[in-house]
Amino acid sequence: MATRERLAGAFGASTATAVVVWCSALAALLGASVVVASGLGAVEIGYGAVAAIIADGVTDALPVSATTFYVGPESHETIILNVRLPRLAVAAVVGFALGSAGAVMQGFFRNPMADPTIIGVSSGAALGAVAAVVYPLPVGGQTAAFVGALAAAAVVYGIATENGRTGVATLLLAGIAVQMFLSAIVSYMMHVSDDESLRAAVYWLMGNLTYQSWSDVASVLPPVALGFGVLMFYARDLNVLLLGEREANTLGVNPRRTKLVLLAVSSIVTAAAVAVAGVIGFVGLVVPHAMRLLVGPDHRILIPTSALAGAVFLVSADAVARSAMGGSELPVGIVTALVGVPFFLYLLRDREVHEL
Amino acid sequence: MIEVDGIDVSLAGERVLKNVTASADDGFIGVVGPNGAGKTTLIRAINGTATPNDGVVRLEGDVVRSLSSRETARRVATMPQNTDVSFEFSVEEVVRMGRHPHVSRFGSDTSGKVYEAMERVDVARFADRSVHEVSGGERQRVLLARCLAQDADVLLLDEPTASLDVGRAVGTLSLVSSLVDNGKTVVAAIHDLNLAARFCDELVLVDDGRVVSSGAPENVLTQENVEEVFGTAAVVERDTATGAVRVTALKSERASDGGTADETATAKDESGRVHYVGDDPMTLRVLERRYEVSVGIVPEGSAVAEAADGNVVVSPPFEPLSNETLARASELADEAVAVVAGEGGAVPETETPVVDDAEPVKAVEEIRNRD
Repeated sequence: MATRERLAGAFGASTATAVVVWCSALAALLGASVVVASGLGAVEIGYGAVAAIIADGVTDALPVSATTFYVGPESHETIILNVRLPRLAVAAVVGFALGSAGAVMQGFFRNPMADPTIIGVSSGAALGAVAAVVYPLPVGGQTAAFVGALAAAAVVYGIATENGRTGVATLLLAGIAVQMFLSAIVSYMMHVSDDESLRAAVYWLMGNLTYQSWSDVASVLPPVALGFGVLMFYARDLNVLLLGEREANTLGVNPRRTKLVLLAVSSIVTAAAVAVAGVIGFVGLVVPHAMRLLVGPDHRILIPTSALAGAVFLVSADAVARSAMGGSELPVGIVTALVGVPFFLYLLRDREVHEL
Repeated sequence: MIEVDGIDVSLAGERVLKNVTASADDGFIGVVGPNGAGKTTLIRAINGTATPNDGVVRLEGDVVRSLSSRETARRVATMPQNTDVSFEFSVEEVVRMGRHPHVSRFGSDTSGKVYEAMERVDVARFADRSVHEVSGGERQRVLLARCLAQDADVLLLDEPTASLDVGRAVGTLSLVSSLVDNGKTVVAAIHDLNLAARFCDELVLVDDGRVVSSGAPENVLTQENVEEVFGTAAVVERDTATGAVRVTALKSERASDGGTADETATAKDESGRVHYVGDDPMTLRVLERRYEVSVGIVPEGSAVAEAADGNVVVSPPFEPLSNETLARASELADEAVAVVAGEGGAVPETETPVVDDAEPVKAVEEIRNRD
């Protein structure tokens, strides 16, 4: 906690100040990582040109007429604005969603090993997405994944709730059981599918950000933004809830309602992210954990910083995924796991996780 | 101010409070009684975290059940018995949570009550330290500071001196007494009869979910009451130093209260031991009130393993059960009259009938009557 005290000292005691300073710093880092990542790829484009193109794109979208910053080949402009930026925007929103939902779930379960997909969201999404690939469903893969994710979360919640009471441990175990069950169904569907569908399904399961367009951004952004707002609204209640349900109740938090809202909203946020990008592991686990070591357990700071750090992490991971193998690209889920697991093991060995 | 009107509270299918009626105006009221008598449950019924099946609790005339959590929290502050906090909040952050019911969602607290409270119980000097780093006694004072910051008229304390040394215990209770002078009502479950007699204006003596006696300490802690409720011979006299009633327990009639080895053995033969497997300390407590209880196999460090006194077989969590552990647990279970099995433990192989933990006492009695 020495780091945390030092930082708290540097920023003054006020929570609001700490939020502003941390979030500005992380937002700047996000901007920088988007610019750097946009320049990477088969066609190399300089950072200056990237920044100019983005600036043009932003000013074009505004009603005021402004000077044009970018001078250069038009193809580069198209590559940045229509190919790389939408993909990076999706990466940023998905990382943002997983980071914030992860912070909430770890608080909710009072367990720093919890993950936003722990109550079956990702396996529900996988079921929906793979079903849409293998069978002719009337809805697209994204919608099917979103619906599947929420249905799975609702089933897990229903199983774990008895007489209006939801045991956190029961929720965790029911989540694991339902995940296994759904994985078995997904495996079955993949087993009976043809080669082409199988490849598409496996690709989705690995988590990837290829072929994302602005319409994908438009479908993932609203639920994530709205959900994030609600989670922030309950941030202080979540702090109090960390003391235990009964104690939270004596401090004026209605534990049942708060738990239901937090669980439902973080499931929606996670489902939106997973539906568009597939199963991307470890962002929701590692990022909030790392941020907790830096900013402490106060969710009013932890949720927004985890969200922004998640966005930075996924944008960076995607940049690595696109450039590490030269010509071909890796699914980003592989990169996040390869980076995330060693870091997670480091936390497990060296930090407070071992007391669990 | 606080009116408890004929309440019944059941936990795990067991009536823990039976038609309890009590009331408190300003003052320091101590709730005393043996382990498992229902002291904690009574506190929880007052703060609304345990709902009565029957009867009502009123605060300033309003029925607690009909108040929102927030409204109740503005009127009643509770200091819990368990002082664990799972994430690394600083001492100040924990005390600041006491302001939660008073502050709007995105507002911040500017009342200064947080610092005032920390100064008052002498935790301000380690305000920046993590609650994990302070000792158990210090953490208890941190939680008391949180209650003061909550600024409610009623203060409920569940075993406020349980992990304090005698100096700190007296300090804490003196502080609590001084709050009463400022017009607060304090209700505290207190284990130590002598401390209760010395600091409380009134006592409520509970046993087996019922109020046995209430009133001034010298009228409640009579030799007759103490001997009946605690099952021990006792001498009750005036303490020359404090002028308060002093109770000295002599030899215990109850085996589980630490009689001699011979007495324990006899008691065991008469009542028959019950073996419990599970993770619910409340069920354990319910059973322990009636029977001698052995426990296992439960995870090492679990709440039940900590709460059980005597025969407990534990196994480190997430590790395979050793043959020795299994054999010891089987031996205990075989010698018991019944095995009560709930969630969160491993039931050993045994000849003894196994019942589930929905209504443990009823199930055990059925088996005993069958034999």
